[in-house]
Amino acid sequence: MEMSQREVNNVLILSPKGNLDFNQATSFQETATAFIENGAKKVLINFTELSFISSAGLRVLIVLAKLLQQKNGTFALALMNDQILEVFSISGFEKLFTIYASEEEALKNM
Amino acid sequence: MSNDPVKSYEIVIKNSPEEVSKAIYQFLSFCNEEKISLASIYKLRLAMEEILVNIINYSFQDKNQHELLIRINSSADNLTMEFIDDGIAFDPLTVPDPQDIPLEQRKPGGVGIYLVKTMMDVFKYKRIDGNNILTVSKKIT
Repeated sequence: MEMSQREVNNVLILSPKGNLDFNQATSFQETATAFIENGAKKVLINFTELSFISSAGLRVLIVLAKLLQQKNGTFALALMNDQILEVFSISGFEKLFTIYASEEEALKNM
Repeated sequence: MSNDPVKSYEIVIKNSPEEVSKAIYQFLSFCNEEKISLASIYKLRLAMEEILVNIINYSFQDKNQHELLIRINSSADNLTMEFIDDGIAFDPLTVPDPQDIPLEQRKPGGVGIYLVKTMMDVFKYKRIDGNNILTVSKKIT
């Protein structure tokens, strides 16, 4: 899946583009996992350029969160649109993640 | 005479992930032509993905190719989708809601079905003549 990445204050910020659906979930998981296996300890997913997520996308986020937990890392999400936020809220996944309203707020707390 | 005609649209796909993508793509074009709002499209698209992925992953226990029929009826303020497949009988309404189960014990598919159940106004299942018929319906804007 198309994704840009940058590092700010030791936080790896991943910005996937488009749809985190059943079709793109595996490719996103592979790329993000590779960063974590290569030593990224603090990972922030910036949702600005993501327009859609399904349960397949939610599952990948759980996998990444567990992987970072095993490595004593930190995982957070930021800047979701209202539709995506609703998916997190209905599924109860809202409670499983730290979700920030801005990158600045995330960077300050991670 | 009603000034709110119902527009019908059918999509037939085989049971493979590529075909699910094809169905979603066709459905999105249909929604755009019908000028359905992005907020409604999001929920309908999610419902379509979750249901089709569930069907292709769990409905068929043989290795044969199967056909799935998606029947869409859309009016100015409502959209109904019927998913018909000849797989094993499976009533998604029997899947327990995910918040009642700890994360580690959740079965795949549970969250997706729960999202669909919550986001759609109608969610019903029937088994007729060896076919699963799942109907979802939602008020659209």
